[in-house]
Amino acid sequence: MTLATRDRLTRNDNFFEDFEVGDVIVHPRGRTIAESEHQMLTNIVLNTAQLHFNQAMVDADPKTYFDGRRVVYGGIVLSFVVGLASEETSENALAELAFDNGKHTAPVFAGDTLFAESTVLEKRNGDDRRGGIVRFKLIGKNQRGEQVLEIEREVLVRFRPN
Amino acid sequence: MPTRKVPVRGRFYEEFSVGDLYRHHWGRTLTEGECSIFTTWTMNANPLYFNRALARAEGHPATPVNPLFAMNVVFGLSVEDLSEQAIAHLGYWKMRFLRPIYPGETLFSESEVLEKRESQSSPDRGIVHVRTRGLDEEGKTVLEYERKILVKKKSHHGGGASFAGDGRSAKARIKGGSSR
Repeated sequence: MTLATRDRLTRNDNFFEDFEVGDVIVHPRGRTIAESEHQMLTNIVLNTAQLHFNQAMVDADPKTYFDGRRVVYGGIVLSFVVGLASEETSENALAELAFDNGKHTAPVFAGDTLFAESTVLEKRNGDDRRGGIVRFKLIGKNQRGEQVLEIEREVLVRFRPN
Repeated sequence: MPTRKVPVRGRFYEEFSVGDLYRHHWGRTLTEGECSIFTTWTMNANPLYFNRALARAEGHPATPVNPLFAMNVVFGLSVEDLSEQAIAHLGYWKMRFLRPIYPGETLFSESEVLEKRESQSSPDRGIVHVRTRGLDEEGKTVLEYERKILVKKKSHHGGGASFAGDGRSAKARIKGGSSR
C-alpha cells in the first residue's frame, strides 16, 4: 500500500495541525448499550465481577447494588466513549499513549445511550517525527446529558502529510 | 467423607494489605479476529486496529491490538483478586501503553496494593487503590494503570455467604427482591 492510497482512507481534517488548544468537539454519534452486548464484552475480557452479569445476586441485595440494577462494566463504558470520540480525534492517530485522572462519575445501565465530547488541553511534540501528542479531556454523557465519565487522554496524532 | 463445598470468590476490604502483590490467574492470548471485532464493536474509527494493509504501511508487522482491548483483558484477569467483591470501580490514573501489542501475544496481569481507606459515608465498605501491570510472555510490562475500587467489608457483607442458590438470595427475593 502506498502512502497516497493510505491517505484516502481517513479524513483530512483531524491531523495534528487541525487541533487548537481550547477546541471543544461535540462528537456526532450516540450509542445505546444493549443488555446482551455489555454482558458479552464483560465475559470476553474475563471480568468475573458478578454485579455485571448475575441478576439474582443483585436482586438479593438492591441496597448494595444500584437499586437492583446490574451496572455496565466501566472498561466497556470507557471503550465506547473513546470509540464515539475516535473519528474526530484519533482516526489518524499513530498510537494511544496514555489516560489519566479518569473517573466514572455516574453508573451506566443497559438501555442507556452514551455520547462523547472532547476538549483539546495541550499539544506538544514528542519523540516521533511522524506526529505530535495531543492531550484531550474526554467526557462521556448519557441520554439525559448527565456526565458518566471524565478522563484525560493522550494520543500521538499524525502530522498533515505534505 | 464427602463435603459440600461452597467457595466464595473475591477479596473483601479487610483482606487487602498495603504492599501486597497479587499475580493474577489464567493469562489470555489475544487473537487478531477478536481484536478487530472489539475495535469495530466499540466504534473505534482508527483503521490501524482493523486494517492490516494500513498497519503495515505504517511500519507495523501486523495489525496492532487496540490498547483498550488489551487493557480490558489485563483488567478482567485482575478481577477475582481485586474487585469481584466490589460495589463500584471508581476510576483510572496514570494509564500508559508502553509498546504496541500484536495478535498472538499472551498477556498476564499482576497488581500491587498502594493504599486503602474506609469509606467516610458508609461503614460497610472501603476504597482500595491498586497499581495493575499487563505483562508479556517475558514478564515485561506492556501497559500499566492505577485504579480505585469501592469494596465490601466482610464484617458487613457476611463473608461466608454465597449466591450458589443457597437460601440467602431466595430469602431476600421473598422480602422484596428487585426494586425495578
